[in-house]
Amino acid sequence: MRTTRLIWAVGVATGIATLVSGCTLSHAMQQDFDDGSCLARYLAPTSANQPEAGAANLPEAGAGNLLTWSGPTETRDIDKIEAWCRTVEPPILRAPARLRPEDGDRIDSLAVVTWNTNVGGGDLLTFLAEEMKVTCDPTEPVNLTPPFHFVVLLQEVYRASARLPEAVSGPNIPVRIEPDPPPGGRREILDVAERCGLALLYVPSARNGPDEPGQVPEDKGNAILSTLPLADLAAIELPFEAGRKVAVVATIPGPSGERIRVVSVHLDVASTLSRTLISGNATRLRQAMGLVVALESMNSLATVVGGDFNTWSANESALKNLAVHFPDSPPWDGRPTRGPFPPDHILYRTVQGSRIDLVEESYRRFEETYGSDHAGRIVWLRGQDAGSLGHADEVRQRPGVHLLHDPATMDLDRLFADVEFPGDHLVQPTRDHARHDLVFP
Amino acid sequence: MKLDPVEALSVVRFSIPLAIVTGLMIWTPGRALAQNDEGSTGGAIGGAALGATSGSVLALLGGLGGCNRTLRPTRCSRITTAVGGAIGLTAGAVIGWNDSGLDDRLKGAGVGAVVGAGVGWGLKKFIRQYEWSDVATASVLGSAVGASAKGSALGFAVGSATGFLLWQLHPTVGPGGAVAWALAGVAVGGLGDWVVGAAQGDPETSGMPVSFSVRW
Repeated sequence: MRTTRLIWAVGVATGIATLVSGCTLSHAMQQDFDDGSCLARYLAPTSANQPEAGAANLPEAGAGNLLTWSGPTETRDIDKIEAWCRTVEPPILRAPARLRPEDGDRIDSLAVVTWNTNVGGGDLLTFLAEEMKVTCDPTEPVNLTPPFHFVVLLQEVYRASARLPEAVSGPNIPVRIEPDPPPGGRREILDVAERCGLALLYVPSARNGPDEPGQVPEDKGNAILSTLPLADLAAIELPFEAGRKVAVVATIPGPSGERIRVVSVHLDVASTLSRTLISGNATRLRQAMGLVVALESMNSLATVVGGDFNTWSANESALKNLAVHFPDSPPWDGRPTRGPFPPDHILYRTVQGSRIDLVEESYRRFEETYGSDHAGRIVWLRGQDAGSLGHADEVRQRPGVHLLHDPATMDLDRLFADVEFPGDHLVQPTRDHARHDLVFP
Repeated sequence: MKLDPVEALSVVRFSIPLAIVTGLMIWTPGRALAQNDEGSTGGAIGGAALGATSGSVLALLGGLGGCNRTLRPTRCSRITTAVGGAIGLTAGAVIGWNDSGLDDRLKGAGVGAVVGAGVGWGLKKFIRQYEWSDVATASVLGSAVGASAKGSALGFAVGSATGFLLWQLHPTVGPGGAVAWALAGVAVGGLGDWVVGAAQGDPETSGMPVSFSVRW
């Protein structure tokens, strides 16, 4: 009888193990959808391919190659993604107001910021004014002279448009997020980009609620906002768990004349109950690994990923695995960014021969949330030859926030390249964009 | 197949309690356990099936938080599920074989399934992305907990309190860690309920704490 019990025990245990092991969810990815689906419409050389606004500002981007799309290979994922995709409008592309060919040569340092703006609840204009020192005039034409270059990786930004497809309440339409509006009201991402003269790539992933009488329909998604021109634009459809998530990718001119890739990503906070159990709670890990696979299929560049990873703890599987693929990431400072949770992070991966350094000690959380339910994070990238101008270590222990002085100051052809300045002589404001007002802990 | 050190350690870690429990249930000589052999083969099979289901689901649930802090959460969950299933299967078979309260556990599983389905249905109404498969999953979870109600409830209470305390003492544990402790408590309590039920053998004396009847 004992033998019988043993056989039963072994048999059923083996069966359970087999059953569970058969439920592995793939994060395999493919590139360039061309199946005529909703996704493919962005690639087709038709008017639908054109950006909604700011077309005149587009940098040499021809129809048909504005965006490279990547996405999961599993049929279930593709079906869900397509259904969600049909509820939104095409992405928005916009070039910065002052695009100068020589800009790429002038960059010694670059601020990289990530922030979830809670669908307009976060006051992006005030954030840019306070933290990035960019005054965005709501009435006058933009004449942007930022005190330094930056790229802001945004999550949960939105667009309001009467042209959005009809959307009735259903499983493909998430519940509308209606945050308390900041002073001056909620602002669409394109509005912010235009007021501030910044480059923009916005890729919507979902509707912000179904159609409601008296409300302008909205879609929401991730975006990249930068003082620098964006190129090599890409969108990565993450493996579908509970909702469609699209990572937004671009390259920008970085320090030391190198191009760097920047990625804005937003992972699911939770999957459905059945998928959570089937995957062993690997919801975010699957999406993170899908992102990694898609990024690794692109050409090798130093890469910064910033986003709302929706992690419940800083030692989650998703972050641990991402750390393996982004080994040069700054260590987490132990400070949460949404209530007691630490969902927002910036990751970094350099490449062989790169002359860009990530300044670890500059990685920090913004103390103000500016009306969002998340605090943002910032880190500085610095060219290895930037220190000779008295940058990071000499200037308040932070990298070159004094990059874009008045052009007259900058046109010195690096006469001071070999001179060490112990003080901050070079960082006195030449205009009234007082860079020394930047608050560092 | 290459087995990395972390996985190997996990296997060893989970194999030890499995070996102990299995040994207690099957190979303990004489009447170290309070068995009465009043059940039947059918009862043993039924108990094994219920125990395996409950144990595997409880272990899967309990391992979600902990496994989600490993490099391979899916593989980790497979291991915990298999271990929990084996423990539940063995304990359930013994309980069924001895007719020591299997009926009560079946009733508990039934009630748990109905309650779980109700909760799942409510979630489906509230969360648009939920499908009927999620209602079914909630029902299975309910049945797993219901089949070991006392132990699961006790484990949840202890796990929640521990998690909350750790969170307060060490903020880095965070609310996610507290939830993980609560889920782990449900699993440990529930599996403990099965093991205790099997060890006691007599339905009249089933329940916490363990009471062994050892023959001299």
